[in-house]
Amino acid sequence: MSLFNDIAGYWLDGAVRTLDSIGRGFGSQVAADPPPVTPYKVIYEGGKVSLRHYRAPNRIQATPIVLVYALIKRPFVLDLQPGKSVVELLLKRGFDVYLIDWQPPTRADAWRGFDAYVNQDLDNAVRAVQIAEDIDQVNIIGYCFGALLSLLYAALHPEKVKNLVTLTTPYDMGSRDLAIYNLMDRIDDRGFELIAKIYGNCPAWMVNSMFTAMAPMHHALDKYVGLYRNAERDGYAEMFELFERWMQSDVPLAGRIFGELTSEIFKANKLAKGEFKVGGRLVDLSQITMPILNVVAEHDDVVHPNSSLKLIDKVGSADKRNLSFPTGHIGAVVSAGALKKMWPEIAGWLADRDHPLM
Amino acid sequence: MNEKDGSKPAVNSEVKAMSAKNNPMLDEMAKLFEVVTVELPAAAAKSLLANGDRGALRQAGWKAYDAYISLANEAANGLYANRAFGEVVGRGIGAALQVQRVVDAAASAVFGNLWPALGLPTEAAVTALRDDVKALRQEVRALSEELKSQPAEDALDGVEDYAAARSAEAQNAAAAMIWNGYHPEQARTRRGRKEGKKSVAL
Repeated sequence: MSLFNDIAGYWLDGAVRTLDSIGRGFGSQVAADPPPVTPYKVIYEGGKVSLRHYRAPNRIQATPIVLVYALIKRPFVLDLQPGKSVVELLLKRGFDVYLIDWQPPTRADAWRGFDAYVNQDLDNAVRAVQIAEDIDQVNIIGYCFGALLSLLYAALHPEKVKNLVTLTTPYDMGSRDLAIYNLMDRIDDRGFELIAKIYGNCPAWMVNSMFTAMAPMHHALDKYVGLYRNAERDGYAEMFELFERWMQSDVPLAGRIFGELTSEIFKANKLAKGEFKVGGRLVDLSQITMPILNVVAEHDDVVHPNSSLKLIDKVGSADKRNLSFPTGHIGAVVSAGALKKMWPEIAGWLADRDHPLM
Repeated sequence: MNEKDGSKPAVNSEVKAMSAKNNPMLDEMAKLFEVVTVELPAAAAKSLLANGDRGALRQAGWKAYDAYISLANEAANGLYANRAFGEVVGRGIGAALQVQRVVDAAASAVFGNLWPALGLPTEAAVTALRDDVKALRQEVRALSEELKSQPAEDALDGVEDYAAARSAEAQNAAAAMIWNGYHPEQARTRRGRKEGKKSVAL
């Protein structure tokens, strides 16, 4: 009966973790991150940005990378464990890395929309890097929601971006390849407006529920069975623990950006139609003329590959390409395969378009 | 069609061929059916014959489990894609939110006005008070630790350090203003203009 006892034990741990995060999720509190794997220094704090600087031990590349993380979970997944860290890998490749650690919004931040996040916070972070490094342009890598923010930023401020890498970008939300999208369609705009009216922001527990609903069997049972089956594998249990901690690290989404995301980007698909405005300015993707690498996870069950692939046809860059890799949405930043093959390719692509530090 | 001779693999391949044309859920069902009716009994028989070698049986068991999970995932996807289910969920969420809004409004009407009228503090007031106490505690702790670590004659230095820190703070504030688009020259010009302006107010 050890099988059932063990799995039940794992399941109970998971249930307690989920309840903890639901309890926290009603406010704007966020559980403490695990200790950082790679040391960093916060060089700028303002708005909802805390900008971390990771210094490369042997810096080779002149242009640093600004990693734009998503707004909905904590960024420690990019620096999870020694040897399983995107940040560590980029540093080893000779890049200095700046990571945007978005601070959770409070109820008073409900007014924050794409304009505040892109034209103020992200722009201030890039200015901070420009000043710190005494440079005009930065390399930007955006992941998931962060890729969307990076894309908008590159379209609105192209002069500040040397190379752009977008990873699992929710661009064309007109495609309904994922079943959960159909369910979201049935919630009318008034429903989304009500969420913002009641809570101010979209609460963290709601963000978590959306992710859970995308793979209910996995979250309800399969991941615990997976832990049982792999318990003997070296480091699996530690990784599982850290990964679960990240899965429960949802933060609320500011009310306005939640409204813009659901009604304009998701339901009306305005970005792909070329009708999306940020701060009154139309987002014209043809303004993106810098080299762009659009990375697509083939088994992505959060942002379907079809939602990202068409992006490359809309940008104005001459140097552009899609990079498809057989991994999932989260696997793109944590899986051994992605860290062994995909990320070195991304780093190599950036290095080819940079010059060595003088 | 080999249905007449009753061989299970033939039935399975038939189901598979049909399901591939129809939908992925049938495909997953066919896989589960095959594992449960063919592979699992075969592995159990093998285990019995091999005097309790449970390796193959365990493997077949996990295969059946995987097939079941795939089927359950497909079922969930099918449910999400179902229009009627979507309508029910969509309307249910909308209704639940409406109810919550009314409850919140009622609670705030009762507790926002009645509570203070009874002389009881609101949650916001208690939270603010708690934050204040916490900040004061931290301040006291920091000051007492500072006092403990400093010899008496260094007390004045502390004040000087504080003044230096305040001055650094002021400098940082000026840097932040410049950062945010404040230009001292422009401000000076503006001030000059103001000073030069003759007041007409009597």
